[in-house]
Amino acid sequence: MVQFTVNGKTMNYDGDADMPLLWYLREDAGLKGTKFGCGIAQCGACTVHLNGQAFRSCVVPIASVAGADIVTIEGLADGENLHPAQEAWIEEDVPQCGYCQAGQIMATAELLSRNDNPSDEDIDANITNICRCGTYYRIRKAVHRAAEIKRDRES
Amino acid sequence: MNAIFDRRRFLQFSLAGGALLIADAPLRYARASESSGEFLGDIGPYLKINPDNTLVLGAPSPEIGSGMHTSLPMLIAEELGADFATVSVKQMPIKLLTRPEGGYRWAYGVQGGGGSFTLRQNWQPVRHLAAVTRNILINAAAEEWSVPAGELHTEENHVVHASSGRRLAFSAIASRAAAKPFPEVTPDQEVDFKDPSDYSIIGKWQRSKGVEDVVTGKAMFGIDGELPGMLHAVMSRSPYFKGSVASVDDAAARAVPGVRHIITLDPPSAELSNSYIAAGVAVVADSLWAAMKARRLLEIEWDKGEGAGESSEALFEQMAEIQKEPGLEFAKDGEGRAALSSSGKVVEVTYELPLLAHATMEPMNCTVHARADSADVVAPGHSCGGMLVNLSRALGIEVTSINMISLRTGGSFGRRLRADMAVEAGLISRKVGAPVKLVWTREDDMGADWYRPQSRHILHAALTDDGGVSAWAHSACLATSASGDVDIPDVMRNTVWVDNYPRRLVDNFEVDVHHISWATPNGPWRAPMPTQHAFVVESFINELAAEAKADPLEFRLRLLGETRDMPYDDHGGPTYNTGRWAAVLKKAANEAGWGGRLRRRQGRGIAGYFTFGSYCAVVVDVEASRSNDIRVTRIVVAGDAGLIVNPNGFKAQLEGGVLDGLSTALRLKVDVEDGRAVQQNFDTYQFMRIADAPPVVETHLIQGADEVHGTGEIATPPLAPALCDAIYQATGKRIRKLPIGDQLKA
Ligand code: FES
Ligand code: FES
Repeated sequence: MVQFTVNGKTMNYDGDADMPLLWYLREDAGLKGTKFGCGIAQCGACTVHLNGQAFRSCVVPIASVAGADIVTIEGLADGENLHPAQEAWIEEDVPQCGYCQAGQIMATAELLSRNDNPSDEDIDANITNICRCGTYYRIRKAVHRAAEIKRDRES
Repeated sequence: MNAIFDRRRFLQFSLAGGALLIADAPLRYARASESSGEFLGDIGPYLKINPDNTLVLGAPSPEIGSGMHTSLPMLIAEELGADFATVSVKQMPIKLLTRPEGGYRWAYGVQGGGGSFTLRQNWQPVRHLAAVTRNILINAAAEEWSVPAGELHTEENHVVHASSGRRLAFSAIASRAAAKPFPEVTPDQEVDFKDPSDYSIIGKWQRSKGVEDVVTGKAMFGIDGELPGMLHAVMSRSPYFKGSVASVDDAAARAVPGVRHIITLDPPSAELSNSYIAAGVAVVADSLWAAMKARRLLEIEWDKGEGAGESSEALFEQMAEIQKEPGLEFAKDGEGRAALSSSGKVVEVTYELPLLAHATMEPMNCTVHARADSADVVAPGHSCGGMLVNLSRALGIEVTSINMISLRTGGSFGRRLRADMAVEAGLISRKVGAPVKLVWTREDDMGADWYRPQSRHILHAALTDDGGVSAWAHSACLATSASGDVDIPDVMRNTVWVDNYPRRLVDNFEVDVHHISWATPNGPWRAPMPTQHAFVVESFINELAAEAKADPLEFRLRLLGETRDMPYDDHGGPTYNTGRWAAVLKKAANEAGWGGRLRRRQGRGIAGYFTFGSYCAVVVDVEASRSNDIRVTRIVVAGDAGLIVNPNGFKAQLEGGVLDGLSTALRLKVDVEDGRAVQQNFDTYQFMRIADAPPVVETHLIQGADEVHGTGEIATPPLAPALCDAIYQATGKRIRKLPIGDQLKA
């Protein structure tokens, strides 16, 4: 039996220990905002936070998350208050098909938790998710804007 | 599928739970949908006015990332006089109905959209219905107030009597409107459309509908869909194109807990081969993970079939060999190729284009419940007509008895014009007698795609002493999986078309074509012909300009000549206009500071193209390091797609289109070896990440006409030729084979 929390809720799992966290989240917990894109940690569509760090859940075996606190896109907002990245994404109207965007936002949220004023180079080095629709220009603007919103909120 | 609007239809007004539903369907269908229960959804086909006076608009076709769920509702909202901020959008069920006079029609607008035509096809019909609806609301208010209808207009979800200042919410006249007899709507009926100078929604920046759901993870994509009691399936497809299963040992796979069925699917019959690619073995289980795990334990021997031994490298050699002889004459003006010998300077260049995968971000998937004589489908849709028709064939059921829900679609780029994932899911569901969700992994998706086909092009042109072009000859060789009696114009449409630029701009002009049949499947890939043709022709024009020591912009403007319509008998025709083409080139150039001085190892390239009715030009700036690492520092784009519906969405499509072009030119190709695809996932099929994206992508919009054209495909074609010319200026190296890969390192 593995115990962990997802978006603040305690969960117990006693199925197949090899199963990637991604499938637990999508199929068992019904949290479908976390997406499947490649299954080999390349695209970032499945990005979630594990104890505050960004992980690609398609390669995280569920057995390894015992005791961890997991946050998914569904749990990123603070109640009604959207996370600065979510707000910036709406302002810049980033998504096209939208499929990669939960992962992009989760990656951004983690970057902002470490660095509240990322440079373009910081963005290039830390956000390595794929967007097939090519929304990178708006993603970059939105990351800068999210950092601004975050700094404003904290000041 | 030629399902179009019925000539005559009725608007149906009804009250439900205090909301006014306005349906655009004939009565008999309205009744049918009531009795068929929940699967068809809970709102009227195109408009619902809630008691709180907010509106829900129905979208006929799915959102695939091109902004259709924003732009089409904008057209309705504008004509109706709605407050767009209060409008929410709901995807209508995808449904074909029988016409009394035979054939089929869509239940809700034009739902079979593909290519760039969805908005274009739906615009007139939805606008018409919206105008009729507006008049009904106005008439109801006129009755209420006892004033002439001519004194009233609508704005922000209200009917307004300007002279008295009275306003009536749409919701307040709902019951009066619903009591009216159903008005008949015919296409030739006179309706007053809003004057474009009064537009308050069209042409203004509008946020994409549904963005809040996307950023909070609430948006439901096809892969998130479910049917009650469904099982999960994955399929191990023949990795060899047109291969089949020789033997399967499934003992270990069957032992995985949760596995319910293991089924072999035969190679597609000739009838289905256009909608279904591969033979294989499907594993059906209680959970997706159990199915995936069991699939790994299958031991399958494949019969390689007719594609065995095929390789893309060898194919280029075969193309080179075959192109030594002239191909089938496709177009010829003046003396054609013969004029090359009598001219001054002749330039010859060969271009090679690789196979490409679509690799939509959301992998292929489909959920189907196939019953004896009907089916339910949940899918990420694109060309929904193709899915319905192919499923009906595969399952032997009436197309009208298939009920389909399209959820949001994680990209298509042409891939979801095919129905293979739906046909597979349908066949599996039929065999196991339960609803089945079939998910393709990325390896499945890239290993069994309908790839953009491989092609090779030899270009010749003769330059006159003053830098004009006196003769042009293009020999194109294309490989597709079409076999037998190949319809040459139709298959060649993947790469070249008889009316393609610069035909009729050069006096002596000739195109000849060769076609090679091989087993690797092919299909449309975002602007199928233009992405190939623009690279070849626009790259060649850049080379000719360099040979003529002319400015590439000036060279192009001279070639385009005076403003006139040129015949163009393909998508986006019947003509294209040289003036609109020149205008986007000039706009992009001006905004980019064309002609300005560049430093050493910097380059600036330009190209333009006409794609399916729209015009687009790009200017690309690059910097090369000493070791020829290329950095794109800026892209400037100008686009003209006729009427600008949503500038925000248009800009997004231009931005995404050029970045797709860049990503593709930099590193993307699929190699075929021994009849199978080498690249299977993003580790080897290396899409661009944000680090490769230029910090500036500047977009400029031109409204060159009043009609609506597509925006999603237009910016990709001109990117690669502009990029490659910029690279040439920065490094002195010509790229004539895509992708660029490590060619600059040699
Ligand atoms: S699905 Fe996990 S990184 Fe792509
Ligand atoms: S928005 Fe479509 S993949 Fe990023």
